[in-house]
Amino acid sequence: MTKPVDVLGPIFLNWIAQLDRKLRFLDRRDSARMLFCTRAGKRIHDHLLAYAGEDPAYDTALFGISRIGAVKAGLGYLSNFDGSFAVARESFADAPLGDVCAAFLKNFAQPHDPRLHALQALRGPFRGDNFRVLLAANDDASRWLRDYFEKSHDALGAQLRAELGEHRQLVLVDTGWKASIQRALQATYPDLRFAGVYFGVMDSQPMETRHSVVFDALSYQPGRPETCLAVHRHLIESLYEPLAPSVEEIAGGPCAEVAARQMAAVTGEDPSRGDATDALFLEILDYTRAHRGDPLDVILERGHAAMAELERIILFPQAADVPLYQGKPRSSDFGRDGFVPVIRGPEEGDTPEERISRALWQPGQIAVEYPPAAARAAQERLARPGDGSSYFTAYTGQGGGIAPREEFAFEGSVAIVTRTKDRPVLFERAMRSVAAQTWRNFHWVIVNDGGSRESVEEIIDRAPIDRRRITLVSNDASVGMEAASNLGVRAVDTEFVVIHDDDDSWDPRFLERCVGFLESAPAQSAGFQGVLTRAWRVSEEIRDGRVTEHGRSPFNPWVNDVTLFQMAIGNFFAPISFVYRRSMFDAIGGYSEKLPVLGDWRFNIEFLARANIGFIDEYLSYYHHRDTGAAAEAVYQNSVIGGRSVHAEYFPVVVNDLIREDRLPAGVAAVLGQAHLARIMEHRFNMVDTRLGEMDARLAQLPVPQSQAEEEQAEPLGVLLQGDRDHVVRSLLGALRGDLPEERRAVIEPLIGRLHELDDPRIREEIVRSASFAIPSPADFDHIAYLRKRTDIWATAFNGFEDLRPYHHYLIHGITDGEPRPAA
Amino acid sequence: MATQVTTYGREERDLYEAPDFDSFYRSPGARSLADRFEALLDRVDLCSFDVFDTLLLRDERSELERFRDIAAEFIRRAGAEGPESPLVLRSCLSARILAASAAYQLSPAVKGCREGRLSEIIANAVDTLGLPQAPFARIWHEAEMEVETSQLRASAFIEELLDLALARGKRVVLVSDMYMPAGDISRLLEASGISTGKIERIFSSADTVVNKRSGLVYDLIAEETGVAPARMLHMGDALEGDFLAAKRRGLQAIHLPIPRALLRRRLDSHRAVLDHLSGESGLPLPIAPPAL
Repeated sequence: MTKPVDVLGPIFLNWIAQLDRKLRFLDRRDSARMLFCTRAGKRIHDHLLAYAGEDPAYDTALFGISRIGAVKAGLGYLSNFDGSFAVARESFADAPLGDVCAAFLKNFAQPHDPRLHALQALRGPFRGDNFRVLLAANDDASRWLRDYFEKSHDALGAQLRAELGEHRQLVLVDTGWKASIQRALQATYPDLRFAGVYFGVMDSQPMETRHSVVFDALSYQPGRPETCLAVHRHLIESLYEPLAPSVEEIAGGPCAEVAARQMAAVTGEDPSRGDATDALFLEILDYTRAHRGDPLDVILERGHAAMAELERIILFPQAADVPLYQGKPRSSDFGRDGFVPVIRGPEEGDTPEERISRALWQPGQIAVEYPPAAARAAQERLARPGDGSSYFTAYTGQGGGIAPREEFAFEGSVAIVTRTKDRPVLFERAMRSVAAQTWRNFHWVIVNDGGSRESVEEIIDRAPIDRRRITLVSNDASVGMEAASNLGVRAVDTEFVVIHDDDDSWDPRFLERCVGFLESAPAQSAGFQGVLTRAWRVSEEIRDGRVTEHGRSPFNPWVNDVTLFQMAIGNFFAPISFVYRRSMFDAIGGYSEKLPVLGDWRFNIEFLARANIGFIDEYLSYYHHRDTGAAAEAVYQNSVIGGRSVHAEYFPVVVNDLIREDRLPAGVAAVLGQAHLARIMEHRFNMVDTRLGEMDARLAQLPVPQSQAEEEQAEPLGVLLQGDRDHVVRSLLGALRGDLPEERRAVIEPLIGRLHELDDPRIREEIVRSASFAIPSPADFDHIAYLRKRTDIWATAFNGFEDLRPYHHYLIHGITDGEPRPAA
Repeated sequence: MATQVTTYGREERDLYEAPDFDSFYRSPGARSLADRFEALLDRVDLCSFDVFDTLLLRDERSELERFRDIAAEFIRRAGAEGPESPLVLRSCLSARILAASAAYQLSPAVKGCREGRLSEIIANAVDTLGLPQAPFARIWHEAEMEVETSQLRASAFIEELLDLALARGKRVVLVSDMYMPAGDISRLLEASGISTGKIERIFSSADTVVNKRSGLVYDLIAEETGVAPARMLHMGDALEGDFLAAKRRGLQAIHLPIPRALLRRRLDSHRAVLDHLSGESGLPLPIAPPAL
């Protein structure tokens, strides 16, 4: 068996050589300080020096940073609250706010500090609004937490400016994936310029100065072997992870000593004391030193060849590969201790499927769960992207792939037929819809059916569409919708056809997704000769030559598939959503020209009598209706809206003709017969539904009495609750019994005789204001929820100055304002 | 009832299907293209022309072969300077291509556009080869110019159109999405016998960063010349940058596609060079083959 270093050595040498080249480029273009982000940065730096020598061509430094460190700095002065919260949320999810605070303060707070206890008592969920309110509050604990973040912010800023020195930019180097540290630092210190160079990037959010070296992909992409690492990025993290915990504190910050200790642990780590993965890292260093003088092209070539082997190992590992390539257990970060196993043992999870779903390297977990043949099959299923259109183009380890096609290849070509007549406003929009398609192998056939040729030509002249892909068929008199379609379809020769009426439009990916689907092997084996997408129904009007949209809603959202039976009941999709093979058009003989309307319905029934239509569950088309505005011009009406009575008139014509059609299978007539019954039943159901709806509306207008149970459960508003009365009385009496300074005792004693009058708002205010120092917030009062609701007191004495608290505001004002008491 | 069928893009199709540029430019199709150009001239104040594969024609060598020739020329010239270790063609070519890839990836974006610059590409390639910048960066630049000059020639047909525009009193600029700055492009034009004195300005994306593909360079031209996009006519070979992007910006535009047969020969050239470069396995250089 090939040793891991024989595979990983060339790959890591190629990466580090490319990293060196890119850092040189960045530095030469704009003087840069390269900051290697610990922890991984420590070993990446060691690796770089093994390649480039002890004195690389640019300035480098180890930078003690972690995601939690960057988040703390961003929370200081709320300089990057949203970004910091988003990163923290990825790790803490719905943990209670108090636990999150404790994790942030892990190295700072003494265990018995009452401020820590006060924060830990916050059991509400960790949400942005809660957390922001906490950071804005002025009680001791909140101030203490805020001060910690502000000191962290100041220290990190000072450190970064010192690192920058005379340079013009800071370049972060790390293993990568989302570059959340770079994103956080850039948002926190916008006056500094950051760039980042990473082993790999896996993120859909664009970031201008984030650069990947080996791969940039969210998932494995067939034909790009390097993206196999997206399936097992932990291998990279593991090899570069030093034998030391994360650097969570900031140099010179509120925990400077801890930061220095953490950094020293990372820089002083000794990989030779580690496990097999650390030993492999040392072997990679040796390989790099031995081959650093190899010519660039040889490094590139060997790295590429080794990547093909790694692709096989990561996607289709055998059981023997797993211990060699799994890496060490992933250590937790973000203030948490512990490790996550890469491959789960039999004791972790009830079933193999559960363990596979939770494994960091799923193909590896599969290899240890199943016998080789079954494992291989499961790994192949996993390697396929979920996208149906590329289902069978995925990597199977057997080679293959689609050869690039010529620009005007017949395979994949689509005829787009647009019928128009004197509707320049709509036709121009249709032109933009066609021009925006990402699938470029189309031929646009415009059928000007008796309208002004000049206005059509003017719009064609403006079109950002390859002129070789445009044909105009112009009739000096209208031939009708179906004949116009036939003229258009027959004007060119393509593999696929779609009717794009002049009033409809597409999402730019419409053709790409439809052609991709129809060309996929599963679509072909299922006999799909056409494909339908979901559509938005757009309500609009045209006034003074401009289109105004009034709303959009899913068009026939109940559609999930396309059956002959459903089609026999009635047409349920618009031509704009339907792409099909030209061979079907030829077999049917085109659209029935004797029908002024419903020609597409008849065509669809004949289509389904012969072949299947697939379904893409995505909203990729727009079916526009001019159904609003009394002043709508007749020329801009839809045939559906403007010609409803004509549809009714021709409905039986289509049905009867089809039943008599001897070219169709006999079963079609039976289906049409059943569909007739279904339509009658549907009509009846609709009537009943309408009546029920009317009754519901009438019932809704009747007054609804509150149930007795609800009334009993609800706390009364506007009155002092018994629990609060007891709390105030207990607090004042308790204060008198305790060790109280004389001047305070003198304040409380006269109030004791008035405690029976607490229900009187004026007396309650006098008592609470005078003796607030002796009335603490009870543990069951959620002061954050109260502050969130009463933003009017954020900057007032009730937000924690001196002795007043949100609770006191509740007693004095909240009760009389009718505020419900927020329970923690 | 009468039906008329109009097929658009006949000249473009004829050029695309021609065996080479000259065959088309000698054909009647070229005359009707010139007529179309002349008719459009009446509607505009400024004409802009693409440079490479439009005003200056490349031959059937692929970009990869050209870079290989440049690497070979560099080695020939650098030999006189006595580099510490002998220079190898495969390594020099790889350094050039990887440096270009780094430049296009790492150069700062302007309005979302990134462009490489020849000087930075050369500097990075020289660094990668472990050579001192002086004199090797200069030598490499000379090699680039030498090879480009020897492989380019002026298109007489396009120069005639350019002169026609000037004769009609139109302003003329050149626009190129290219890693060479305007000064280098100007040298190549002069070397091919085209006087740059008649050209108001050369816009190269190496200088402007914004480019034709994004359409933003057309905004820049409009801003700097004071001519509205609708009063500009642009022509060039790239469907996206020279035609679609120009149309989206509201310009008049003519697409002059590269003949497919020529593209096929360039593709053959690309494959042949890659085959020749193969060692233990294929050399995975980040350079795209010509698209047909």
